[in-house]
Amino acid sequence: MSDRKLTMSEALREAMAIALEERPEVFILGEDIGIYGGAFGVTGDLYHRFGKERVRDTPISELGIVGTAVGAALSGMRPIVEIQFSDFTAQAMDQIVNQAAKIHFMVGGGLHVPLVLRAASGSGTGAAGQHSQSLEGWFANVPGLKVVMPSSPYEAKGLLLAAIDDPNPVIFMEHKLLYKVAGTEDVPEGAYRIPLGVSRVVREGKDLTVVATGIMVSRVLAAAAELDKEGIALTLIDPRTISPLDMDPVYESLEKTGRLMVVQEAPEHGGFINEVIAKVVTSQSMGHLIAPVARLAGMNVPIPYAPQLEKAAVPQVDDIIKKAREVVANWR
Amino acid sequence: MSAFDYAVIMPKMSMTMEEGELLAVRVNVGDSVKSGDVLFDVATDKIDMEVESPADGVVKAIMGQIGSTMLVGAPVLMLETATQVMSFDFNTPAPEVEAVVEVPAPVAVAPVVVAPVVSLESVKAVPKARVIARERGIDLASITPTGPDNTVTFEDISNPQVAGAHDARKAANRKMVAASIEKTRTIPQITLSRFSSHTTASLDQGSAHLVATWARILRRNTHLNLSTITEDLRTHVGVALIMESKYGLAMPVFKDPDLMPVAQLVEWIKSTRQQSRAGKVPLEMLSGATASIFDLSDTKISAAIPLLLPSHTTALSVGAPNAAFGQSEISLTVDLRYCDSLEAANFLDQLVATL
Repeated sequence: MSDRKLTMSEALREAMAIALEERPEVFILGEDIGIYGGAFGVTGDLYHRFGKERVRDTPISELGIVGTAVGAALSGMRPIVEIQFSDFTAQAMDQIVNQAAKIHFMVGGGLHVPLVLRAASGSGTGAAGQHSQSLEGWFANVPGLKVVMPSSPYEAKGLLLAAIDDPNPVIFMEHKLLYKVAGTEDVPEGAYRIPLGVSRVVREGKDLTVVATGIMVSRVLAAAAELDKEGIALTLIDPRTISPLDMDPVYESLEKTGRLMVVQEAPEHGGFINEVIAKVVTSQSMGHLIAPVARLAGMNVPIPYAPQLEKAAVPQVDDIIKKAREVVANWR
Repeated sequence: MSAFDYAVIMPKMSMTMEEGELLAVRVNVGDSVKSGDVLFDVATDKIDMEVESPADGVVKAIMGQIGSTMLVGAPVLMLETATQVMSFDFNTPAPEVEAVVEVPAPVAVAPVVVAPVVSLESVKAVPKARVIARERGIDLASITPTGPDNTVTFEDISNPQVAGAHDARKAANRKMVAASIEKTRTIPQITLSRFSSHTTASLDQGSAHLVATWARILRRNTHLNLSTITEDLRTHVGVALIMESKYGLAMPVFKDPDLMPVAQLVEWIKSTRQQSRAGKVPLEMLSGATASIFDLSDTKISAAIPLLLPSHTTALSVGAPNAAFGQSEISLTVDLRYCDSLEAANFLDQLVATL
């Protein structure tokens, strides 16, 4: 099928529709996901297509929603939870971290928790500090959780179907700014799955290896197009899942480029992206470095409300261009 | 295999170490030593250290006096060894005894190179450069660093074309300087010289005194503080100091150096010299001078005739102190359109009197 340039919302909705059709045990639950179609319109018409039993509106209680989903998953269902803003996962932390992530392991593998938690993440919508965070690093630090950060509509559909198949909890962090943007790749109409834990080499270039997650993948691509004109060629690697993390393409690329830059929206301090640096410098890959590792991440501040400050608080295309140029020019 | 002599010297154990005390010598003349055996103990104000033998051999002579303080690079003992030891001088002058080291006869086998002990602080290099240096037995200290903060880059160690590119830039720089001097050749000028018995603690301090003193003289004599091209009087006093650069010579301009504490000027000159060696003189320091100073006091050159640079009214040079009577020769060239010769003589006297 050609010319299916969907937005990420549409691609995610297609994935959920396929799962609802494929498996009777799949159902979706969350706030305003039914009649209203979701805070960001992701579930859309699914309520009307699959009915209120399978697309369930819930009261405003994240703790209750995730608790319900954990119980359902333990009893043979495959719930997909939607959390309106990833910031509200804080309300459900005990259910996510102490229950969902642990149960499979604490009963010696005898039980599974096939639960997917989708959450709208990131800044750029003018929603200020309590509705704009990038909290993926929290979850990546909890063994027992897989953490997915889709970077495009095509990726989102394939990764969500793989996440729904997974026998244990998967946190699915969707960047709000990607919801309404049409992708550059066609999204196949039918089912396809992108395995969790396999990084994608988005593009290859000889000068600099960039590892970027979520929305930063498209920003790095835009920067790379500009840098191409200057003769600076980037390799871009999208880990897709930050836990588990597939580093092999990064190591392979560093043998060719010798320079590493990491980019994330989440704050720099204690951020997930630092793990990529740590893995490089504690491995044989260290010996291939011909430049200090460059790091671009959000400022260590709550996301501001003022639009200019909100933009300034996280890496933008220009920041990426500037930093990449600096690393390549200074370290030959 | 032929044996030859190798002088084991007082090592430089830190960036600031200039001398060390010889605490003890652990070997006697005639002793056979193995590479790694302790030869002697050294104390500095920071650290006490055992100095190990760089190679297998026999102790031939002991020159160092126990309890004496010796300059870095001074020979402590002489080792007779069959191993060709790579001498590593930590950027200090080679020991004078180097002359006694026999030239080894050509040997059939490739000489064994004992890897020099390189302290981490002495060479900065990117990881890949270290890997290559280890694999190919290259002494990182022998590579000219071109990376930020004087770091040896991948290109420095792997690509000989870099040196070519540097040479090209050096040649272009030389050409530019020569072309500008050519322009000032037809200007009526005179050069006067006199000796000065001033002493300085360091090159930077000496340069700072010269720069500040000359700036003060220019400030008092505004008719000299102008651009000879536009004839506009300058609102500041700018003095260019000729210094070594990665690309040959650089002439960074120190503006109003007489208006700041000397210690601050010394630091400014010091850091600018470092930047210049790295080929990174700040853009704002590349123009606005009325005079240039060529300070040769840390060399063995006794005097140089200073050449006027375009738009400058004066140029100064300072030679190295004469070994016999300790005085340095200071020379002043002036543009006679703006300053007559007796006036120039007076300025030179003022300068020497202040120094």
